[in-house]
Amino acid sequence: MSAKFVIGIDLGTTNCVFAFAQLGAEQAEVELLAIPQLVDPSVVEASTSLPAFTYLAASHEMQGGALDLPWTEGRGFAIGLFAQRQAAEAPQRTVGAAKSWLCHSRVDRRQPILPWNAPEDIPKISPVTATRYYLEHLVAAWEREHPDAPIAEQQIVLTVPASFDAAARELTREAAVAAGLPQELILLEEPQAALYAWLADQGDAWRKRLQVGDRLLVCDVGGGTTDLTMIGVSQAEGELTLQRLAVGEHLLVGGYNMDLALAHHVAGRFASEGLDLDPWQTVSLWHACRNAKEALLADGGPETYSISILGRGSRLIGGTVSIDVDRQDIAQLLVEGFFPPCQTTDLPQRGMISGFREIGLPYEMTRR
Amino acid sequence: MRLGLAFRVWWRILRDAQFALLVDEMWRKPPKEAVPSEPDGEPARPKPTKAKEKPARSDAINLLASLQREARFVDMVQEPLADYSDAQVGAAVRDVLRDCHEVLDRFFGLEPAVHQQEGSPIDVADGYDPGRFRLVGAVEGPPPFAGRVVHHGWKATRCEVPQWTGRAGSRWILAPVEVEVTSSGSESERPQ
Repeated sequence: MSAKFVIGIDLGTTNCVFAFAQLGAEQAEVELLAIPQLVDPSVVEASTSLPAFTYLAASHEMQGGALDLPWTEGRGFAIGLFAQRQAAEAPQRTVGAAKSWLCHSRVDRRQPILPWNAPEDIPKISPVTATRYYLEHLVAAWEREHPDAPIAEQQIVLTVPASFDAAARELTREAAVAAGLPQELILLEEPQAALYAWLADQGDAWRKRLQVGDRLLVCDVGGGTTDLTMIGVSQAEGELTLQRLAVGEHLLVGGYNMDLALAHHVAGRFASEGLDLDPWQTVSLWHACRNAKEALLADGGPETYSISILGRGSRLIGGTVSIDVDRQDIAQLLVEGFFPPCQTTDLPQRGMISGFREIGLPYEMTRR
Repeated sequence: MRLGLAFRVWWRILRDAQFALLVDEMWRKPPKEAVPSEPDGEPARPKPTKAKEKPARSDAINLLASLQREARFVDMVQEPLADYSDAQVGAAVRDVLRDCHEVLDRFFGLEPAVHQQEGSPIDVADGYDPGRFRLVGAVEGPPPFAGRVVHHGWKATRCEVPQWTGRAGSRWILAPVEVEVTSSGSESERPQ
């Protein structure tokens, strides 16, 4: 076995990224793998991120190899950008957030349970299978670009949330090995990976910036999840050492939820003007709201932002409607809605989430 | 010896569908070749492995389909403007243009063809490439010339239009007909 590359895979809840660097190179450069994926039936494009969605197609949809990839034929499912878009147009056939299901201890994670609550005639897969699909896709994309460096012979680091329990880690490893990754793969906790990246960025300066007794908070706000980790700086034998002090619970709320909250707010305003949005328009509203959020909440952003929804049929301009949103309203909705002011003595209000427990994923997962 | 192997492989291809797929894949995989390093400023050529599929559809159609899918470009240019006020056009076009920019940037990595700002001086050397510089104004005598940048030009730093693998019947389709299903027959299917 002769590893030529070290490979880091971020298996995200909503997006996967594959980074690699040559081993033994003097100035190792970290590159991102371009991952070919379906962006529409029969249309393959490469992107450096792979949305972690699986679309389970009906048999008539895969006719003529519409879901084929450069490395496989006769596919009945799609992964990536097309699948992500289908999550809005055909939610009952789309699997999302498989990673969060992996750490859901109240379901059997090897059973075909996803899409959750889908009608009976729709095929289902298990959270472990979905995870394997994403990893298989990444492996195939890699081996196509690097036929001389089989993935099983490389050094692999796969990141998992710090809040993953032992069972979820084991299931992740199981899916990884089934996808062709080597047994020796290393599972690295995401906040630790983030900390390493920060240290590498600081160079030697980190020893000067940090003092004994300092505490670092790693805030990982992803698309659909948030994880908080506290790291303490201590001293051992005259050297600064970093130690994990506490890990927050796995929160199933992230950036996409902010976009959706904003979209819900704006859709309500459209509705009050007598306009009901269809699924396509809802998706485009969601994207428009993400742009609005980024523009309005940036430093020195504008006071108002115009959100337009294009007409649905081929009449584009005639069917377009717009609404102006204010920076202050949005800041209040998102900042105070997602990060409400509280005292250090306050505790989570558990009563509020109990109603959601029975349906699908809870908003907060406790580690044991 | 090769004759024997040929027969054995031939026989197994006939009997074993999985093996046939494997051979087919191996057969179609182009030999790996070294890509010569590109001179500065040239767009990177697509990697050799990407040229494997049969070109079922023109890249120009693929580009138009992508612009329509992601930015509704075809809808925009096909719509008569006379019926609408400038404000109506502006509201719609702002989004379309932003999404068009995103698509073009992703496929072509557009950059100005020279680093100099428009209005700043520039020298055009002897033996320049007329495809790179267009000289206007007082062009007299042989190069080199001294001048001023009127337009900085554009260049693509890559050319990565998506691959299309659909069926021949839909090779001219830029955007499929969208149908909202209101009722259906019985369904029984499984993905493979």
